[in-house]
Amino acid sequence: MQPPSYFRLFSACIPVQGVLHALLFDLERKSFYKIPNLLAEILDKTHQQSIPEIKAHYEHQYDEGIDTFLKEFESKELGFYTDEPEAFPKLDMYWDDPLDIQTAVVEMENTDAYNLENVLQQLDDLGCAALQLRLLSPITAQQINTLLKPSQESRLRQIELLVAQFKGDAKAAVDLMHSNRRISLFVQFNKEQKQLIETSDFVGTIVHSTKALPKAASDCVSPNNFTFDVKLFSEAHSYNTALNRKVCIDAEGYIRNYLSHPKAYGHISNKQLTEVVQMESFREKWLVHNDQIEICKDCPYRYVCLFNSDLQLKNHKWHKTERCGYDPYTDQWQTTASTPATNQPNQ
Amino acid sequence: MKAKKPETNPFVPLLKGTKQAAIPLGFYLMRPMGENGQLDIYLSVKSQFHQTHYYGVGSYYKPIANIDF
Repeated sequence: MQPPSYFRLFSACIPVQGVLHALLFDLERKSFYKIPNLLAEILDKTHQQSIPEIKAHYEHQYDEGIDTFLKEFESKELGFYTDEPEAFPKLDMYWDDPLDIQTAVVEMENTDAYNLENVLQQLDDLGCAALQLRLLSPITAQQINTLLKPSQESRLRQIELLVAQFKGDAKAAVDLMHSNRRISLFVQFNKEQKQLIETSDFVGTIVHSTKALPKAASDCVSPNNFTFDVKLFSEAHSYNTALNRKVCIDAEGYIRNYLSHPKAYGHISNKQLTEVVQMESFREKWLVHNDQIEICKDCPYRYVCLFNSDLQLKNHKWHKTERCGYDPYTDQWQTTASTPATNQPNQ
Repeated sequence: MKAKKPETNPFVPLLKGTKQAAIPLGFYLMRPMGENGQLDIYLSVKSQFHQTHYYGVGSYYKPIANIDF
């Protein structure tokens, strides 16, 4: 009996080519394998051609290598042999979402700068599902409870709370998590020592950090922050995953695509979020995905990373104004924090 | 007697199990999820319209912003 002549990767196992090498992402098991670009090319051909046809295409130069790799992929449960290739189509990378706004970052330094209750109501109207609230001034658990009260009846499902200086003890923090079940992450900055508190009492995590929480802090890109998710992966093929369906309000109340971006689209006190998110200029960068951005388009991580850098159009080419720590041309991580692009080599 | 409004939802015939329900070619592919022995279930239905629908297991939310702490 002849062995099956076609090979298929499982639909959530997807190779991505980079300038130096490719990566084979297993989006279900949240892992990836570094593979040569040639192998990614061969895996791509398995969607149209049988294994004998692929071997013939390369004039039998790589027969042994192809057999070895495919067997290895089968043993790692990344793929399988079949005689019915048409029954296993590629995953459709079309993406859409019913929410007008998915995520928001709201920064507050002075509670008088704008009305948070009003902001939460407007975000709710837009269907916002996840909020990162950054509180830059010293604050108590009771004050946070008051600020978050409107969220308890909202459509928000997840709140990340970043507090520069929390004026409360461990019990107050735990009580806060108990009374606000939407809080998935509560980071307390400026603590004496690092600590991670996870208990079965609540779903979220409390983190003590010795670092400071700067105003309009930039993103930190590291391998630990990559997200292996089919939805994000497919979104990344057509949208800027960081900026798409996001709205941010800085400490002064200005509405931006992201806190660190220079362009503001009005002040929350006199502009409705619904109006701003419909503006073509506000949405423009949502559509600029990594395949269209210089440097990122050569990076094999381009569909799993999320980087809120601003974008700039120069000579009809999109560039990120900040550089992440990864250089796809050397395959080296330089630093974990993002830095202005102008200070980086290999632009 | 008032005429019944025609069914316009394309999925209604599927739910009712009429002849059309047999048209889509569906398959389940189950893949062990390693140490925990969980099963990951993919349902891919290639319908008569050649649309592929995917349902997977995974987190709904994407990160909001990754800042250093």
